[in-house]
Amino acid sequence: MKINRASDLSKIKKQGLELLSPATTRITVGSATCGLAKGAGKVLEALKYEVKKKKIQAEVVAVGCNGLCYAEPIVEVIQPGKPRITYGPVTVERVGELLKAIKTGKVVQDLALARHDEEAYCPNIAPLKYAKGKVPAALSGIKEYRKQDFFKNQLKLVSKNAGTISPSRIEEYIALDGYKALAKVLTEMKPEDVIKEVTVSKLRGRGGAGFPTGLKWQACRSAAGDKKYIVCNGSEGDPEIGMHRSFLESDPQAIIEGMAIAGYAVGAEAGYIYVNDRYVVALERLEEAIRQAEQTGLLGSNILGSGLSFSLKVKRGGGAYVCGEETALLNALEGLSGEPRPRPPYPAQQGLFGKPTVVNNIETLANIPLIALHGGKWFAKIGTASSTGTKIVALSGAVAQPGWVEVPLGTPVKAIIETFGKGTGTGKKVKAFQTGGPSGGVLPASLLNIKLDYDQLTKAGSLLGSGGLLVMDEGTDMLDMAKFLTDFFAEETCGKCSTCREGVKRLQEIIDSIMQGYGTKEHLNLVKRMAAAMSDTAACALGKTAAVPFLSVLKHFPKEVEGKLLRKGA
Amino acid sequence: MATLKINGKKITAPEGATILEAAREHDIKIPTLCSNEALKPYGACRLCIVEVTKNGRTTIETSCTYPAEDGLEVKTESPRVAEGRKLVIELYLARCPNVKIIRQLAEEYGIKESAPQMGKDNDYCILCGLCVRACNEVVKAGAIQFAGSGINKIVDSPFHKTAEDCVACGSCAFICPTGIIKKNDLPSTSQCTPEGCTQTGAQREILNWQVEHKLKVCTKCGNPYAPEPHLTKITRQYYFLPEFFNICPSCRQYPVVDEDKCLGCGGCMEACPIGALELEDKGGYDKKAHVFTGNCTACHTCEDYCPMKAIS
Amino acid sequence: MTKTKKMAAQKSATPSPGAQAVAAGEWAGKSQAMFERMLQEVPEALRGVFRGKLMQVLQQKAKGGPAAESHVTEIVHETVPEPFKSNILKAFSTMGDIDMKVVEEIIKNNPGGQETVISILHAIQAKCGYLPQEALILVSQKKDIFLSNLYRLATSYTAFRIKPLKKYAVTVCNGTGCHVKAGGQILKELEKKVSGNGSLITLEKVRCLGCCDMSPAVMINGELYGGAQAQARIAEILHE
Repeated sequence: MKINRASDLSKIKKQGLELLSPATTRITVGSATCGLAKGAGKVLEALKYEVKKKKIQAEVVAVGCNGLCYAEPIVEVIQPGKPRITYGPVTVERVGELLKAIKTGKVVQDLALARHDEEAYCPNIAPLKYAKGKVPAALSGIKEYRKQDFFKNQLKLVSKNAGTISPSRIEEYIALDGYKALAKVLTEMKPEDVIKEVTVSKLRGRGGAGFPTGLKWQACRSAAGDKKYIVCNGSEGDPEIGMHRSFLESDPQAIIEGMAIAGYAVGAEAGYIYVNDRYVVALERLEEAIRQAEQTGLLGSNILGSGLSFSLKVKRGGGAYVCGEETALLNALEGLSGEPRPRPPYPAQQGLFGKPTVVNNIETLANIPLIALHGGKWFAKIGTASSTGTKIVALSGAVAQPGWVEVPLGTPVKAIIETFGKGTGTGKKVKAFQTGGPSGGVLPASLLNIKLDYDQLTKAGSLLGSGGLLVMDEGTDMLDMAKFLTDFFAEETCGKCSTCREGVKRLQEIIDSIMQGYGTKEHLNLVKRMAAAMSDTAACALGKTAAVPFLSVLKHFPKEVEGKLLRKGA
Repeated sequence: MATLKINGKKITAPEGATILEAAREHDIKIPTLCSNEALKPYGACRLCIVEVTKNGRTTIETSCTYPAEDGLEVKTESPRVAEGRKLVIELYLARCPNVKIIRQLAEEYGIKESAPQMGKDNDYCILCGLCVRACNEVVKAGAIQFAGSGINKIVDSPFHKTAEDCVACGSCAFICPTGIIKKNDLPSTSQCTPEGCTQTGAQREILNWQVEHKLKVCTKCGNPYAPEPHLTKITRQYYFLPEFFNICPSCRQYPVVDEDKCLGCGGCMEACPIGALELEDKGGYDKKAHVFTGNCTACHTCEDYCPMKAIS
Repeated sequence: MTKTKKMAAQKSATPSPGAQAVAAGEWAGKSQAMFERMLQEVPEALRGVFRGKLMQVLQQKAKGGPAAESHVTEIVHETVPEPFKSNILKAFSTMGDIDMKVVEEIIKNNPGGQETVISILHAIQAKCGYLPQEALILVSQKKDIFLSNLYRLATSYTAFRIKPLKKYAVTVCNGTGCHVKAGGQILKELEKKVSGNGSLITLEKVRCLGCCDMSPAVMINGELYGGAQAQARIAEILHE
């Protein structure tokens, strides 16, 4: 239904609430790429088939990912008046059993993971209640989600909808206060007010550099130009993460709302979402979400009667890590080769097609509706003084339970690995970890108490980056890891600047020499010299940090490197 | 106008100038490989790096791309710059140890050879992109481009086949600093067999792009002087008449009108087969013949026709 | 291609069997694709008229048989002026078995300049499995973009391939998580095995297939396999 007044959102909200907590049973299947890879698609089909065949009064809905990736396929059951039950991993073979349990009011014990009596999905907002009255005896045995480590230690603000709503139903997004922020911004705030809230929130870019978002928006607003653009960086190039993909597949409307608010604040009428080439499902869901937003009147011209016109296009990338760098991304959007541009001029002054452009990471934009709705001051109270808000962290590598979680910034890394990852799962202790992707190098287990914080991590020689947390156990060969990460840079360098292109090649050779036993102290000195010079002379962050993986291994695990060096006279 | 300091010296730079341009205006030396006045700055070789301090913050930037702004403090030979430049030259030496211009650069900066722990290749292309940029920005033929990316990046013709869009202008060979682009102008040859003789006209070949094109022969002096496809392209681009390039630049003499002798009869105008002459008002009733050199093919018809012998 | 029975039936049925044969779609080899490609040089508004006229010429040449590739080439030489003639002949020389109508459709659905090119390349690869040379030439002509520019995009972005996939497309997850768990072994082994049997397998690396606890994950022709299963399946393929 198309609306042209903010007050009409409540009508759609009502529709959405009826879908989320219906008079009949609602069965959801986690259908992001991580779930689909494990067979969630087949489970969805099986459920739909059986429900129809057995004439069960239930709706089977594909939803997004809630971060419990290790237990996929996730199936959740919401029966009228009863708590929401999370099951996983549910295979096609167990579908019959599950439906039988639903019919008889029982529970499949060995698959039951959690129980939600209500969805306290955001502070300041009344929770969505599932259970009415006392919890039935059969279900009371399942632990309530807020008493479980995985849920109670998270602060799910940005990802509040992921895994709950269907990404292809805008009504469900609106039911959980979707587009309330945009409505508020358009009816009660001036563009400068929006920028002020974002500045007060001290929100920093969630993609890499951690640049203050408010400053970026202000610079773009002040820049001269007849046309301005908002660009969403959905390239997620780091090789160990996929949580932004999960996010796009689970809650695409959040990005759309964030970008529309950004457009209003900065004076842009058009936006582009650049999506990693491999994220085909995310691309489809985004395009569908944009269509629905347009049909509802939340994108297009004169949104909610405010006079704001904002339109979005999704563009698929060509498969280049370097296109995560904002100027290379702009080149890719313009149909050019993915190479960075010299700065200055900065994108805020001369960006897409030469016009002032704001380039923001997916997660940065997903935070915007929250800040607009609840205020910058509220946001700034979360996290630490210099790193405000929450961060979605993707756990991978040697962890028992890989997946993603959302925690307040400032949470110690050790807590994240133990509480959510449940340790290495390999019987070996943690040896090293990596944050921020290959540019972050490695950090030793002795630094596990470091807080997930922009400045602390940068001081330690790493960076927060896009939120990957890779865990390595005692069985990891650190020199091999250094080689792997350097090889990554060698494959992804665009080749424009001599420093990076030639430098990374030589770094590979040096590491190979050392691994084959021909390395000497001179090799190590050369790498140190190269690292300093590359950091100064490379054209973009890829080249500047290309030597970091090896250097960090040398710094924190010197014996593993020096032990391989050629001994004179040996 | 911007006022900035380079190596402690206060200089002014015009609007829109880069640090490199400002430095060169004031005879301050900064080495470059990929920069050329006729082309947009690219920033690939990283040789022109300088230390820039702006608002208390110091960074290393490429002077060919960084704008010369008010209040900048620039150092072209600071220790950081020197170290960075040294590595860049070493990396080039490791890639192209036998390229003359790289050896000269190394010698100038006192670098004997690349670090022995680095591997060595024997490439002759430094990927400066001058050839690509000249072909695309100036000649606008778009025959060659970068291909591949990263460590395997090269300059190539599409599909590594004959560059169909190449007009054999030779700009790439001219601008290439290493000399790896091979352009050969071959004279006309004739091959005689008992069956008869075949003549091949003068040709230009650019080996790297597998290109071979006929050279246009001047109808006056008979010398081959420029590749035909390039002349065709210019003719189309600037709406020249097809006969314009029949005469080579050395032979081309434009008619000069002696205004004392000219009667303004307009006969030359009618005789000109191209329409390169017209009568220009010189005030009052005076009209004199005026030549459009843009259209003139120097056929001498007007000279022959003029009754007053006013055209030579 | 040639359907002799149908032709024979038509020969006896109608007075101008040659016309019927070609009109009913009797084309030898790539002649139909070539005919369509030739027509693409004609502005859309006039295409119908030209199609009729050129079809008549083709029928005359075909003399009752199927239209041959040489017939179409002759028409181009005899009737088409420059620069269209060169464009068409160049396209003919690189023509594979790609339906150029599909490519033209894609170009039409993506109006605009340079900024549309990457979307167009994705769409072409989705339809053809790779980026054929003749498709790039058509895009270059229709969008007035240098072919060299398109070739650069096709070779510098890893999403694109300029050669068709072999029978088995094997994609190995090379994300850091998978590498930590399996140590990159499976990739090394696969690379060794594939290099000998290159004719059947196209091996590609990718970052994150999305199933981090099935690592090392491998996708074969779209089907996902975890480590040990993948080895088994690869062994099967190699025995073909």
